[in-house]
Amino acid sequence: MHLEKIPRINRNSRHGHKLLAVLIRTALLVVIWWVLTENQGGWVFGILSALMIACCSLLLTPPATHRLRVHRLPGFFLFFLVQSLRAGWDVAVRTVRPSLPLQPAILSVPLMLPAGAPTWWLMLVVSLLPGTLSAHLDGRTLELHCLDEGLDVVADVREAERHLALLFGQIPSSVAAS
Amino acid sequence: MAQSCAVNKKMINIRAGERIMNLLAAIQLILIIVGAGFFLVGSVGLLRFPDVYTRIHALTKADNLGLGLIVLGLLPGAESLAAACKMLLIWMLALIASASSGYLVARAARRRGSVPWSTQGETREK
Amino acid sequence: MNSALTGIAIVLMLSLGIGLVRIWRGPGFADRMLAAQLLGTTGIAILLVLAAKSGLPALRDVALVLALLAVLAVLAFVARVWEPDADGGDVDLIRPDGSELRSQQKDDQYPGR
Repeated sequence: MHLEKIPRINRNSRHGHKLLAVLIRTALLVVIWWVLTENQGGWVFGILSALMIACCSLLLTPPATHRLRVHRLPGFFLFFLVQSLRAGWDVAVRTVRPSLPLQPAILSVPLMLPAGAPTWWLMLVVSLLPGTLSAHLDGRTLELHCLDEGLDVVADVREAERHLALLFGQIPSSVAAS
Repeated sequence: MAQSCAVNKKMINIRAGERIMNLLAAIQLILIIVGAGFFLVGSVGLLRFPDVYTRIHALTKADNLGLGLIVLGLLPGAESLAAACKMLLIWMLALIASASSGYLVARAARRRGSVPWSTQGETREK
Repeated sequence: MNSALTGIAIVLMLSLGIGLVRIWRGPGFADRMLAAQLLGTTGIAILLVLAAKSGLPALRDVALVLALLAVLAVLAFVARVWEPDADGGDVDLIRPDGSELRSQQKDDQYPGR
């Protein structure tokens, strides 16, 4: 699948590409090892298992399918934090009010992001947006359960889509325009 | 004279440092208390909300925010950088876990035909 | 700070107790499962607070394991208990590159058990 997405690349540089991917993934896993062991050592085991897992993950998930733009991560985290705060506050207010102001509904929102990893992320993020919950993915349409019909859910989903499109370095005109 | 002046300055520095430490401790405490408050609200929501779908809302949103605030409040007290990173890792794991399991339970409920509770009052649970 | 953390741990225990009421009252499998998930998250928070309070960093590792177990429990529940083979022919797995793995069409009806 990934071969079609990077055309006109000769054999050598494709191998270079894979080597780079293995190195990056190994480095990430070694960082996780460092965190898990709290810097107590066992580096031989850590690096070896990180290398093996990175190779295995490369076989299952080839590189260059949907690459994250690392420099966009801080902005995405900020967006995510602000939305989580809003969502938590929203639910808290609804819970504490004696009248329990809920008006749940099921909404269908057509997605504009490409299938695969970006859509997974979107479904996770949507569940943490104020008043929305991913309930079912039907093709390219996401069914949402929302706490209050009155909320502008679609605008929030579009905003999340825009952030994820930026994060994955894809700016489909339809997403960018909305 | 100069010596006492220097000592004085040092005292002031120490005092300023103490004040900053106190401020930091106060911020930490506020974060942790608010975080625990969100946990409490999440549990109350789990009790008060009328159906599976709305309960998932209460659970995922309030608890994740609560855990995040508690982790943030505890971060400065960690013994090492790795320990701090471990707490952040736990939070990220909990985020992914509850978002994805919330989705899975909601999808399963949809497939089983659980009709979401609505203000009109028709509730049907299989 | 230390006594404050004890207070926080007690508040978290209280919230855990409220969650237990939902497990007791049900009514459905899913409600109980959600409450169990709440216990997992609250347990993580309690362990992190206790790790900071008593200076036992190992408690953090316990919290990590709890975070992993909570998601496994829900996965097992959804896959095996609540919808054993209720795949209405829609996509079971989307690979990271976006290709789809479809299972065969099946009756959407949930088999009684």
